[in-house]
Amino acid sequence: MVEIPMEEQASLNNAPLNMFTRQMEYMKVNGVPGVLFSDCAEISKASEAQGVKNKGDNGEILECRPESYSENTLLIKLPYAGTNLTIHLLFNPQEPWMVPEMTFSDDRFTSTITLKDLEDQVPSLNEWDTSTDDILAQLVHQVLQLYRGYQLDRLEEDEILQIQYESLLKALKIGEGDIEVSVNSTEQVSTTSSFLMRLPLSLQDVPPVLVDANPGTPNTFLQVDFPRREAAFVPKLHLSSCVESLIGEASSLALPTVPPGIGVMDYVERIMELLEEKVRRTILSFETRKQFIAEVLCQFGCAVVEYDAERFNKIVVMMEVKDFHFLAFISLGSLFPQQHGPRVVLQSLYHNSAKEPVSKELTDLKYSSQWKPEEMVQHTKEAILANISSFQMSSIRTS
Amino acid sequence: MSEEVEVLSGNTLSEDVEKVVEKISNTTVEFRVPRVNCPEHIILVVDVCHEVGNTPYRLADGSKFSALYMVKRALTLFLQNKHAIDARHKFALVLLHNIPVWISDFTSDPQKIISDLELAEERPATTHCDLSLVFELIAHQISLPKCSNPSVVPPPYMYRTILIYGRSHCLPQFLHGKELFSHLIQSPHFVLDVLYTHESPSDNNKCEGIFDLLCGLDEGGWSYVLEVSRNATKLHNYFGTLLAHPFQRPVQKDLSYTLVPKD
Repeated sequence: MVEIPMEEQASLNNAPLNMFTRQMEYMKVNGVPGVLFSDCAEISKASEAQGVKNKGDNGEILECRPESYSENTLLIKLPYAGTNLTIHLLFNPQEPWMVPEMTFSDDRFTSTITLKDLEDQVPSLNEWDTSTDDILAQLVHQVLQLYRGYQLDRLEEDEILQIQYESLLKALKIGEGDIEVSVNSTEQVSTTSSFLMRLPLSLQDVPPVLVDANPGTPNTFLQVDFPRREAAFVPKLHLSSCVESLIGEASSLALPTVPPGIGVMDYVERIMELLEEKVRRTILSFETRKQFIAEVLCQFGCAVVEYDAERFNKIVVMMEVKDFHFLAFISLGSLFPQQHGPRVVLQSLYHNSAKEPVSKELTDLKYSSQWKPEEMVQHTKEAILANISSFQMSSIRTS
Repeated sequence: MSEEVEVLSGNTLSEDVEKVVEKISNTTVEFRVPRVNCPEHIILVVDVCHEVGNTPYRLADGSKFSALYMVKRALTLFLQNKHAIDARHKFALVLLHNIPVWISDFTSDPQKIISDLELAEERPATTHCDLSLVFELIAHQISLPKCSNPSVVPPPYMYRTILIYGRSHCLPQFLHGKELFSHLIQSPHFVLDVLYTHESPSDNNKCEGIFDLLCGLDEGGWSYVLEVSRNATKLHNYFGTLLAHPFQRPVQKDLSYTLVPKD
């Protein structure tokens, strides 16, 4: 998402920045090719002291804002391998349509790449045309490719990391395009090297209605930070909102502790198993909900009022006991069937308060996740019968 | 919103045959649309006529209430319950006197309709009731969803008209033709339900004839046509019956709510 902070918009009278409104809009609408990480929340390993960051920190794909001290600079901040790469574009105030000068937040990268590298691999600089909508997107894409190549060159200098990288590609069966590498100088103890990889979590068995419920691509990323050579690596899981809606929020998933000496590849395989199990559970929950609703329809088909025919989360039935008619709202939450039974609320057809009809939630419903749907429905029926007189009494009193 | 009305010129022979075939297949149990609970846009047509000599509802505690008052009470519960079932459902209000008047446009806030309903006053009875005007008004206010394959693809929403007719001496009739009514009824995404509230049937009124006429509005067999005399409980029960989603509910003759304990 391209963001121009409100307070800076006032100073956007300058030609270069006004000039690029369309290009920034283009990236907002189409995304930026080459950026792996987008629209994710973050979690840390359970035992780590790091807190959960809120979405705002990681949700932006990129940020374009004018430098506070120079009105002719455009900063494009890209998430990369768990950190950021910022491209500084400096425009000539007299000729803002000309190709800008470019530097980067990564100083070593700035000093390593040559003019020839730029000529060969960032051709948009040679064909700079401020009238094309995708000129910034192209530039960013090409720069990212260059940066990736640069990082892979650095990787070759670190044998251990290189081995980890290659074993990951092989074990996960992912391509170079699915993993971002950031190799940092080992002389500086405080800087970390990181890998950010897109995990091949398959959602193909998930009923399409559940996947389609949330917009956006279902992405699962694992970030692995290597703080120092000897220290254990630190994993962080990032899930796009689509995946979160299926297997739970990232903050509710606890990553297993990293056992000493384990290779990244083995750890990642464990994470994959954990995630795949979660997906299986989601599918199983859906199937069980469907069976439960089907069983209710079977037993109460002639009294059905309405039910959720796509996600099977709810069914409403009308019932009569000794000439007393009422509604039963039966809902199946995200914890059904493993942890929670159906939630049953009786609701009146005759009595109400100003806002809503009189209702009563059943709290004495017997339940076991081991029961078949027929048993679950039978117990629901019994609980309703047991509560009818008290519901009838309380509706008259309440209204 | 305005609906473009197609002028149907004379049917060809094959179209007639097609209609008969369709009618036959509709009388079997198969649904014309998938049984999905798409949002309903419900048009409540409330008759506000009060006829001379109308008896009130009498409750067990001796209190008496006019027919319109009772309908308002029961309708309030209907709106609140329908909203609780699915907040996506929308409601519109039409008051029927000598002509139908579109009072509230579609809203998913039941309270808006309830407030407008509160303000509706009883009016003296008219000599006739023209159903053509009712369906003409509705046809002009709504926009039927366009669905390429209605038997397979659920529509984004559907329309249901609930006609609450309250006269015992005035036959509701199509005084200006039935074209718009037929146009609406033929759509699988338009359903008509009727709730007839009336005096006790006798030789002094036309309740039975009116009920027969109202039953005749159910051309496809998908409608609910309910009638109640001055029984408050039954009135509320029937509004409960009307809560059911037209695409998922059983046909009227199959309705059965009794919860029997397992012996």
